Amino acid sequence: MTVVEDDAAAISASLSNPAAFRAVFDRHFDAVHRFVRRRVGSTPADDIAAETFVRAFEHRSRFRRERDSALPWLLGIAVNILGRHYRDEERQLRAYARTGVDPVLETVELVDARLDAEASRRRLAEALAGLRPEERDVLLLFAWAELDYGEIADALEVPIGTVRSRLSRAREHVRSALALKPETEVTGERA
Amino acid sequence: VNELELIRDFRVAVPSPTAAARAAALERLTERWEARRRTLVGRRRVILAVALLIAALATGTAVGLGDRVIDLVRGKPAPTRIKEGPLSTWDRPLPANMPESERAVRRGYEIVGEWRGVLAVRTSAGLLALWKAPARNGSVCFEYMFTNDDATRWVAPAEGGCDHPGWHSGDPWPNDRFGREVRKHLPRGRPTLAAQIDFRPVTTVRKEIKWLRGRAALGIAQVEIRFRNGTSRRIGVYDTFFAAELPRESVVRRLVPLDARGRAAACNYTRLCSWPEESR
Repeated sequence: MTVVEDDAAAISASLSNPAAFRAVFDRHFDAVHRFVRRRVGSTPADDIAAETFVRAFEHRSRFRRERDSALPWLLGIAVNILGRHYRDEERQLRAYARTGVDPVLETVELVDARLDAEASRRRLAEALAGLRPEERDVLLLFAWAELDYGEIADALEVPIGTVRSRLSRAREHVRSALALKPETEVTGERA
Repeated sequence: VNELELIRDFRVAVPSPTAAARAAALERLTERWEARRRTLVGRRRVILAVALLIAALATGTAVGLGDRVIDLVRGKPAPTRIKEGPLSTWDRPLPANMPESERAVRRGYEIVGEWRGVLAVRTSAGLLALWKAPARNGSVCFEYMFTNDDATRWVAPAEGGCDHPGWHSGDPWPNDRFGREVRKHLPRGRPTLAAQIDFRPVTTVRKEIKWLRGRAALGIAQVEIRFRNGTSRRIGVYDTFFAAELPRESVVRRLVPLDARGRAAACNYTRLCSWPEESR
């Protein structure tokens, strides 16, 4: 069996041998699914994550092969699909802020987490709900998916300066909502 | 605690996808790539079919469809088993009792170069191939013969001969019968076409074919054969030689030499330029 070493090689191979795309799915499905699920919950996440890989497969020729990992690209596709669910996402965040029960953490195993919801988290949910969707995308790709500025710019197909400004505004909004003092600049360049 | 730490902790307990979710996603993806694979296979089949068609057309030029000129022998040295056949007669010593005057003429036609292929034509009696070689007197000697399918072995002799000096070289026409004939038909110019139509028995396959063979002046790329029934056909000219099998019942009304752009050139010398139709 052929072992495809990295994402770029797997995606290149999949152009002539579609099944080679399986390596990309195996490597990144969980990360994509978790990111989406954290934002909109389990049921939409199953569909959005699956749709993400189908779209990625359809547009695999557009993947920039100089990139080592396909994850930022996949998350960019997922965020694009999430656009249809922004209202649901905001509604869930506000419901959590109002009731202290996070609709996204609906499974029995997570009951402790639900009960343990602190006021700060409820305020955070409200703050996230109050963000513009494009600012929330940048903030969560930075905080949850741990992408750097360049990767976020690639994923969202926006200039890196736009990423900086959106992230800055989003953090400022959250800080203000949580009544936190401004902190020193956090670099977006990761190792 | 800064806002980023709070955000990173937010919903961090979300579990990994279930096996069912993963399997369902993989199934959707698999369906898509299977469809893609079928498309690719279909496309590859189309590409293969087109490639085969192109190859067939190219091969059609190369190995002949019907009686089209083919490239099996063009420019290639005559294979050993071809040289051992009709071509070997050119190397035979002259008879001892040959008069010296004739001997001198024959020496002029001594082959001084290599026999190389000119053209090959698919006929109903097999492949008809032509080789030529330069002679000492500057003319070109040629030999048609029927061969096996890849023109590596001769099957039956067909026709051979040598140019008269002056046909292409620009030399004065000799004062022999050929030269006198040229001057009679063509007092001021050069011939553009010489052709004849023969019935050629091919005993090895017990068939007789009707074939056209001839020479054309430099610059003539094709010859159009116009038949009495109103149809016509074009055949290529290779190194001034052309040949084609004709349907037995066909009657050639006229031959028209064409240049590389397909324009009709002046036709002279051969009777098929001016005669109303061939006679047999």
